[in-house]
Amino acid sequence: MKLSTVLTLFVLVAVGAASFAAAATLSVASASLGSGRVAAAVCDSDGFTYTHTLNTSHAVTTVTVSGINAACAGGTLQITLANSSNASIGSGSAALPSSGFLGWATVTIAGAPPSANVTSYRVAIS
Amino acid sequence: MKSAFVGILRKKWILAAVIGAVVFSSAYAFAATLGVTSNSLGAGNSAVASCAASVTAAYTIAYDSTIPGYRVAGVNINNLTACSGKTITVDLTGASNVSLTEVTYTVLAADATAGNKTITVGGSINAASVTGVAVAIAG
Repeated sequence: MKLSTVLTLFVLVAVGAASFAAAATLSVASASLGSGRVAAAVCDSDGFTYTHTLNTSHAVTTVTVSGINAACAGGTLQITLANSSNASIGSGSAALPSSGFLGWATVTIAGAPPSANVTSYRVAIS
Repeated sequence: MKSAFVGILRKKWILAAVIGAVVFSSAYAFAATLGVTSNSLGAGNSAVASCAASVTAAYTIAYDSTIPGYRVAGVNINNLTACSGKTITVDLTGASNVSLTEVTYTVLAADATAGNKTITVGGSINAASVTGVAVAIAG
């Protein structure tokens, strides 16, 4: 085979290889991505029962919340005592034990709200 | 005439050149008939990775007299050790999977070191209205 023939074939092969090379160098890098969704579990939807204790000034010192579903065990109960304007006048929280939970919790109330001013209890367990 | 042409073709370098010319002219012919103009385009494939295989969302709450009741004050996302610099998007969803609010946060190196971050949720999203949470981490 003559040198000129070899050169011609070499050029053709080189051009083809360059085409493939151009495609091969088109690398795509992707940023990381992760996503998911989960339902927020509701551990108790049928309400609670409340009893409170007062000090000698008739301020609320503790509130016992009962009727808590066992599914709430391990959560944290937060309670706010509100007045007629829905403003918070006392609050507290309690950890619900993960094991041996009996369905109730006694929360110490900060703020010493006068019992006469307490119009509602607001509770959440998270 | 014919024998002369065959003689020329027998010269292999001319044959190779002719083949090359035919190939290129075919390529241009195909390109010409396509008649499509476009901006530059590159395509390829890449695996999509995530910095965390799974995360757990936990809520912090605060009393809100405008509800009145407890609002979602924050969402804590864990397993962020490998997510420094990534952007977290959290949607709290309610009935019919409607987004009640969406918050975004860029994970700081300190958050990655801690492994978790509580992202503040603004507004008065009633905790009782939240039925689900969607989380995406990108970047």
